[in-house]
Amino acid sequence: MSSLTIKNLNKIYNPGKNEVHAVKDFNLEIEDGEFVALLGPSGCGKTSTLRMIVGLESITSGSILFDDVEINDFSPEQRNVAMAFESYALYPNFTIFENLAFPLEVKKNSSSEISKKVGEIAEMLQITNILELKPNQLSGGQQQRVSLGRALIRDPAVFILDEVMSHLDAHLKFQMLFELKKIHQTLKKTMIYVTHDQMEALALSDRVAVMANAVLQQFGDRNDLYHRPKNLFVADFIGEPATNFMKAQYSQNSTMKISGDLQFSLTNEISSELERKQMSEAVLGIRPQNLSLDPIEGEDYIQGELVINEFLGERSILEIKSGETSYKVLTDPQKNIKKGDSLKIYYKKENVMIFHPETEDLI
Amino acid sequence: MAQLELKNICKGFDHPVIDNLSLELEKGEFFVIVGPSGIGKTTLLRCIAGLEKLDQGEIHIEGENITNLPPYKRDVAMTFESYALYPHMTVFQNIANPLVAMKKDESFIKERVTEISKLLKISNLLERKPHEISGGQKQRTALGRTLASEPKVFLLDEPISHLDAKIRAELRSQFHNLEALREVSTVYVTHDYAEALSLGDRIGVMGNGGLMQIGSAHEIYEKPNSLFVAQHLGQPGINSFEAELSSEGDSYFAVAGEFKLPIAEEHWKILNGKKISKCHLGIRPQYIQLGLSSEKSETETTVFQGNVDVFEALGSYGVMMVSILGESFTLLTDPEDRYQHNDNVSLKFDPKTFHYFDINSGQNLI
Amino acid sequence: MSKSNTNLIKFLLLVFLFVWVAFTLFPLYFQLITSFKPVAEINAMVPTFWPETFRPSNYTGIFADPGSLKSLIDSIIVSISNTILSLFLGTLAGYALARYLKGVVGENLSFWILSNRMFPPVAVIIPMFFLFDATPWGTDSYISLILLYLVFNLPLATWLMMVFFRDAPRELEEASYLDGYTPLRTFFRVTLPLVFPGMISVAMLCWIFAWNEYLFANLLTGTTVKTFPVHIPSFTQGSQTLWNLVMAFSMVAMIPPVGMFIILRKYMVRGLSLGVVKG
Repeated sequence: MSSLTIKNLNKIYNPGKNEVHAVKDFNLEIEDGEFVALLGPSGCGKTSTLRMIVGLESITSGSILFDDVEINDFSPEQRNVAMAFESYALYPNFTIFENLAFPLEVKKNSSSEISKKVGEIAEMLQITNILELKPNQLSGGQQQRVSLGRALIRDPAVFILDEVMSHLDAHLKFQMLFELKKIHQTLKKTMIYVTHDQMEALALSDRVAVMANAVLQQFGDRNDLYHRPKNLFVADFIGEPATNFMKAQYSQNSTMKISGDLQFSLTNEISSELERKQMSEAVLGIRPQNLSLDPIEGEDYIQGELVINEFLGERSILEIKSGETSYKVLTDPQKNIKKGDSLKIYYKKENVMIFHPETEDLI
Repeated sequence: MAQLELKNICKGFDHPVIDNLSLELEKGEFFVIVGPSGIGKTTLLRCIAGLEKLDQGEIHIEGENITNLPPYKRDVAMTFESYALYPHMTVFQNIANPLVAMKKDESFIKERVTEISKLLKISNLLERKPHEISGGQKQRTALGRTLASEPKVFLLDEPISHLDAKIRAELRSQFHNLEALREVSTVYVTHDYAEALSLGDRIGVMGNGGLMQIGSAHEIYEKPNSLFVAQHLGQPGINSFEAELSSEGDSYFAVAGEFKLPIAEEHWKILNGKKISKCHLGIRPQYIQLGLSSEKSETETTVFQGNVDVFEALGSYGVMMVSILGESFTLLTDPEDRYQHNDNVSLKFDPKTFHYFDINSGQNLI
Repeated sequence: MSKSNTNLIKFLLLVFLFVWVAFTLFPLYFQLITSFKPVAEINAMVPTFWPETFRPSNYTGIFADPGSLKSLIDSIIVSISNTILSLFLGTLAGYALARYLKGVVGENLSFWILSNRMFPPVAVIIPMFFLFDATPWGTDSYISLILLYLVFNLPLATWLMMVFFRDAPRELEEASYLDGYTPLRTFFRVTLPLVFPGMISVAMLCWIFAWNEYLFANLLTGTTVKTFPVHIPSFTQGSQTLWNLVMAFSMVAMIPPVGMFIILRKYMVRGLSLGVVKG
């Protein structure tokens, strides 16, 4: 086990002509035993970062430290990093036991030691009853567990999971999320989980590093990302259903005008900040779950007409239109309202997020 | 007259996949079939499309028997799970393909494709090939191709399940808003219950051999007719366990080991009338309330103490697994609060929301 | 591994590759220079590696000789006709095998067809001779040679086209039926374009076999029809072989296959990897 520190990491492909700056000044400190997700859309540089940590890609500049030891020039085997892949990459002609034992055999452990270790891992992952089977006899979830087990058995310092759940179906994914969390609770190893799915990232990790366009946008826990997103990208990328964004004009007495009668009140902090910066235009964002049909005492409301009442079982998503602007509201299942109804929608001032129209940073 | 009518259709490969299924769809109806993968949902669509031969039964469209017509003579359009876009044709040619088949003249085709691509917001992609566009755009193109021919029946096979959550939400609202779908009957297949609940005018839950329950979203979610239906709808899934029913004086209990929950009086009347002593008890995660551990009062029979196994804060809700006296429960929580492994919490159950299912058949007993 | 080590290995690999390329290209180079030399220089005891007397008239000589020219034309007639036939029949048969004959019958039938390609050609050479001798057009004719090459090319074409058709997603055809196309129109509009790169590869393989074939052509034909491989030995007169003409003629005969490969390389590579990578 170790902590992981990344300092001013850069990766440039094809320096000179057709230069691609894949990772720009990336800084990250991961504590010992922490579960961190590296989240970003495809092509954001997360895979390059991960390949540099593992040692499959050379580092253009900057440094990577395991427990304060620089490992830039170490080969992948010297770094003691284990990795589980999106494709389970199990050896089809080996039994599960042999698959699990494989990394140990390479290290020339004795056979009694091997069976002891395999037994331990198998018990933890609840796969003891399938050790004699071949991979093609297992379900997708079981294969995934075996693949995790094979990575874990080497007792790595850092454990990297690369998009391990992207092609499981939704039901199985939901189960695996919990199992993986349990595994981490038991092992308490430093884990880095690479994904493009914000739901997986939020569910599993202690902290999430959000990457876009080769740059680390924000590193924080769920509440940071939800309530204090650094910029428009993070606010948009994190959260489902997606945050409502509207173009807005600042008018006096702490309100943002959207269009027609639609306007939102702001906290004093934000409005004084806007006045100080003399901004008249901005992008306003509010999360669907921060809009409510239940009156919130002492808070403002906006008025709109129901367009779609989308029932999803545990909750409903309402699509509401106020003048030309439409937005979504997440509520408990609503039965008694229908298309065309006029609704009052309440919100708390402090949940209104204002972004700079050009830099897209949170005010 | 029904737009699409299935009469006692049967289809099996080595075992019956569809067993004596009958269904009538009205014009403009959006019917969603939801079920686990591999249960035969796609087979049913392929039968309607004419890509599979029926073993038995008849299919009628607008009263006309089309059971023995080949697919190219049926007034049916279908999108495939893999989109099945022709890789050597541009988006324009893909959408125009059914019109070319009908030998429409060029100016008409151009007009119709432009109209459809505007509707689906892909006007700027018409000259691209399928491998040059994103998954969501491919889906829209496939949809455009099916809309182009103005069929009488519209079949959609898992149209949005392979896309990212955000694009899924966007395309869902597109289906809500497409007026073109109101002119036809649509059969939409998915494994995602939320999609089904969101879109379906009526929903059919498919299990082994056919549709287990047909009804509106609220009906099938709140009054599942069987344990299978209840388990399939909802994420996290319904908590269910075997329980014995007993009475102590005026109060009635469902007992599983040391765990004992009261039964609502109206439920007990029905269960007692049927002489049920053992059943599956189902409790939806969102009906379990989380309280602080200190709130427990002695007389309260619906409040229990437990330890947190796992807690995950997802976007708009948190999911917690708690074990109480050997039973494990999943519940929904506010994602803003954080819990650690082994935290002590108390859960409050609401007996009015319990479901009771037959121990053997899984039928809803209430 | 340290950086200097990797660089050394890269360097050694480059040296090895260079030697290998020189080794394989040398015969071709020698053929080229020989085709420009006069006979005397070829027969010199110490071979020269650059023609001392440069004689391009070796090439003009070939085109002046009606026999040489006709043999090239014969080769073109035979190989192209054979390729068209092989491709046409092989595509139809391959489609039928891929889509309509599945299961035990289909597997066995398609394998039996391929196995026709596996026996040594020499084993059937004498029966073939008598067989074609009995036909009204005799052995020494275009038709005989075209049909004979079909015996070897058709199984290969059928088998390969079957594999390509199997890899073409069935769903695209089904989508086309639902768009309102009959199976026949679907075949031409959707299925054929999908396997087009495969067809190009198959055509190349068939054509190269028919272009280069010597054994059967030598035995069956020689007077009315004379393909270029059969024509080459006629440059030997008595004990004297006119190597410069042989080499010049061979160079000319190499132009069509090499040229075609360069033009169609894009399709060839895609076609040959069609079955390997899906999606």
